[in-house]
Amino acid sequence: MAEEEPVEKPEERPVEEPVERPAVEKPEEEPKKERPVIKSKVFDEIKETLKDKIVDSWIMSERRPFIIIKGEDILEVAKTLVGMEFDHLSAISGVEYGDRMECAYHIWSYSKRELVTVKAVISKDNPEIDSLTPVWKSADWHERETYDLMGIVFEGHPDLRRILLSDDFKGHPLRKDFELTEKPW
Amino acid sequence: MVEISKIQTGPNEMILNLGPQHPSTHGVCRLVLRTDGEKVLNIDPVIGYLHRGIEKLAENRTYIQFLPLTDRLDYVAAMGNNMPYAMAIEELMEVEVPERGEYIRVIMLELQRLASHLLFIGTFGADLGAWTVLMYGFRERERILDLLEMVSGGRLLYSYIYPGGVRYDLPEGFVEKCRKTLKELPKYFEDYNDYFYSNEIFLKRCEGVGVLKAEDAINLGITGPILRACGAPNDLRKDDPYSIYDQLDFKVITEKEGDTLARFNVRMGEIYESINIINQALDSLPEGDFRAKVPKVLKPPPGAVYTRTEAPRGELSIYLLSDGESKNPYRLKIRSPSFCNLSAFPFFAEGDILANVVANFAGIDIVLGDVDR
Repeated sequence: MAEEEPVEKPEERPVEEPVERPAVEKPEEEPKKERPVIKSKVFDEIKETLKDKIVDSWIMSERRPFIIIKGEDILEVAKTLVGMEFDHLSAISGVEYGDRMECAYHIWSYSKRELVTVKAVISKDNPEIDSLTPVWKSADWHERETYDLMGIVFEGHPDLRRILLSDDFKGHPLRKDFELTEKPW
Repeated sequence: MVEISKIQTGPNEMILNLGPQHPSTHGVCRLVLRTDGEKVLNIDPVIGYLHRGIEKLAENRTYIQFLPLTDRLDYVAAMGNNMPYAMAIEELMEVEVPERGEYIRVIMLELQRLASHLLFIGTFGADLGAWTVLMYGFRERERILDLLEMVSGGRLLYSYIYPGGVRYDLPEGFVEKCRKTLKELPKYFEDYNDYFYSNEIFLKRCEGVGVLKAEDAINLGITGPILRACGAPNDLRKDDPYSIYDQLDFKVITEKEGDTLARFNVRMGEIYESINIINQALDSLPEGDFRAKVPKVLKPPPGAVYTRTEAPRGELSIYLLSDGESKNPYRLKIRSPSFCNLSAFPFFAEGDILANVVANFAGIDIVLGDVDR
């Protein structure tokens, strides 16, 4: 109910929006039915190797397979993927939903030229997941950032501290319940 | 953040702060160095001075309102930032961009790459004490900015690449002016070659500094010219083609050495390659629409997309989640090349002498707006 037109005065919006939206859930389940089926050898291979670990999987578009796994399996899945030449960890993004948190790992293979997005589902009350720093060194800063902004704790990370915000900052701003301060003017 | 008083130092060791306001840090970045005489033992980059919370702002703005904010990520290559965002929206909404739109986009992206690399050459020289070339780099960059101003009206931040195509069609006389500029530029680049490669001090400060192997670079998440300088021919324009890059004929510039000089050479080579790409695109620029019809208020269907582009500094990706109900993005994550390249910086700069820290830092060509977001 926050806005009708994009031209509306922007003052109230930041305060209202975050309160409403946690009720929305599972935004990513529809599209796989609508889109044309895209065949991918790599995708089949991943499904074959990780059979019992995969909760759900689909292909969004060309070269973009998605898989959903349980949070506790992440280290094992990551090691398997590295064995399959998925050598470049492009990014880690934490996403908060109404009932759960997700840690999405975007992993690219330079030789196979596909980017698999691994979504690890973790609980919202206790957002903890294994660190992938032993697998990819690049995970270091990505995990620090996700911890800083999203509050996901990476177990086994060598140096998990805030990176973008100052040490005395309270809360994790990308959480949906983070209250934005009102503008002073 | 780092508390200096808590860092353990051995005998003869010293803590040295480089920045946050230092001419060679390209913005507000602080490097906490633990040194033993001239030798740097440990580097801890402290970032976040320019953190504006752009990912959070995205959740509180409509899709179109957020477009100008993407300009402010890597503010010396703003066109390149609009691109993955526009692509993400198009992929979610299944919008087909008209061919002319794609051609104009590629021309703009490559002009931006030119401008960004020219700025790099200028600042790189300045960081190593070669101040003359700073003005050279800016002089030629100005010509490119004139072209970008002609199409978009802006000289630094454009918001020109728009979901569905580009914001305006090319103005009259642009193609001719662009061709003229591109024809004249290479003769100025000869000056750079003379200036750099006949300068022994410059070569001595770059050769063998910050050597990196390709396997390490990939594991560290390095992308862009730095990775190509290690001999890995990885360019997203070839590997994961977007827009019309798969229809164009261009080389991926690589070097074997993996040191700072190789990084410089790769960027010099890419300048010529960009000119080649723009000329090809200008030759086959089709007539027609420059933008597909998109609704004024965007409301993409639910879904998650990850779009990747080869920005001048490396891989710039956007992970966009839509819930299908709100007019705002549900979550937007930006993978910025500078952030990842900076995270790898300590690995190849540690153990070297202090003066080389500056050369190494200049060689990765970061922009702090891109690091801090």
